[in-house]
Amino acid sequence: MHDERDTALLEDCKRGDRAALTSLVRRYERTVFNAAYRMLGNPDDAADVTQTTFMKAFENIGRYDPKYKFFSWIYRIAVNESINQIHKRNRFGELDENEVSSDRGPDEVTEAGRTGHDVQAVLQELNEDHRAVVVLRHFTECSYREIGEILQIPEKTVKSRLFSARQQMKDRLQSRGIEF
Amino acid sequence: MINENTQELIQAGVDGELDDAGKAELGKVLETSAEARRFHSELVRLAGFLDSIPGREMPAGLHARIVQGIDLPTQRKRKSLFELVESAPLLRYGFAGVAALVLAVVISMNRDDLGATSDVSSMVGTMTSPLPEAQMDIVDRFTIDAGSMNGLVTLERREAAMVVNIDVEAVEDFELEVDLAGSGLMLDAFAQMNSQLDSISFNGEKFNVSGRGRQQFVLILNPGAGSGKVGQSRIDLVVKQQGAQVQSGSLDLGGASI
Repeated sequence: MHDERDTALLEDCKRGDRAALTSLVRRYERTVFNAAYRMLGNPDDAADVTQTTFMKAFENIGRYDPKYKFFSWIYRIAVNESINQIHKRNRFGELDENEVSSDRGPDEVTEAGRTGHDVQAVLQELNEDHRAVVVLRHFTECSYREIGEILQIPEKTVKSRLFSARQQMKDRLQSRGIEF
Repeated sequence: MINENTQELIQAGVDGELDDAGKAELGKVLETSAEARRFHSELVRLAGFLDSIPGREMPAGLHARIVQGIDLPTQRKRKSLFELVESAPLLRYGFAGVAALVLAVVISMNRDDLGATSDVSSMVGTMTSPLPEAQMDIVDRFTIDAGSMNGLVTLERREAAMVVNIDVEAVEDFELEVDLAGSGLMLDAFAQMNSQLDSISFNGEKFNVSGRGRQQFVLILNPGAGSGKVGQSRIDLVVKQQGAQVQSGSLDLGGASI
């Protein structure tokens, strides 16, 4: 159902229908922003990546292969853009790889929000490959097959990366005294 | 120590990735191995914990930034009414040609909507003469990002006129009110471009429209009689959807001289 609606909206977008564009962006912008935020740990960078993701998706819409889901296409761009942003940041030494922005949103003042901040810190300690599978599984609710499509890796690799990433997260959360 | 295959089976079970045969196999493993049960329980808790982390709200205005940054393949570059007028030389010779020839630039009010003080023919005249060489300055802007609607309203100064340039798009029906009461300006002309509003009304102070989809239109304003300068005043805007106000704001004239 979701796929059919996406396909119809995409066709309308190709005809220049901006209302369809608005609809399509609204469907995925929050998830793309959150995925980028979990990859980067910084809301400003995540906002930039979200904007770039949609711009690139629509600039290259002719290259979109409809045999894949639209969200796979857009999440792939988002993950790649996030990784590019991490590399750029590391090159220019703007933020340490393991540092999480101290810019806490209003939701992070609460207990749950503080835990979210700690989880973010642990995520930042994972390498990009491991972080990406955790983000796609837990923050965009993708299946193994979808994660494989997005990252262009076999499902077997998805499983092993996810297993390894979770083990690292479990150990690091426990060492921070976080109960789960 | 459980082996790698068992770990993978347990993880797939926790992630809801097993078919019936896989679920049956996992059931057997959990029945027979305490270590598998411990591993399974730990993974269930970790996965549940990560799934429960709340999403972060998007920064205000990001939606509008995204949408406005995208040019669709067949979409023409957004032009203001003045750019359209300037790009069509015939228009310089009379507005009669505008409605007939171009676009959808249509003076679309009728006298009943406008009330007794307004005159459609005078509005038309105001639009034609000084435009081609006129300089345009953006005085203020207002971004609409509410509900299923987004867009941009700019207040532009064009020599002898102030222009409110409105470009919105809404998936659902919307109403927009432009209140001139606090502006010291009078409505001189109204034109739609590439749009078809459902309703248009003006009571002498408040200009109201409703519609859905993409709507582009402009209001051309001039100072009231005897005034050559607009004071520290503003134009108020109210956006409604389904009868409820979803956003409001104002365009600050900031003492702009016209």
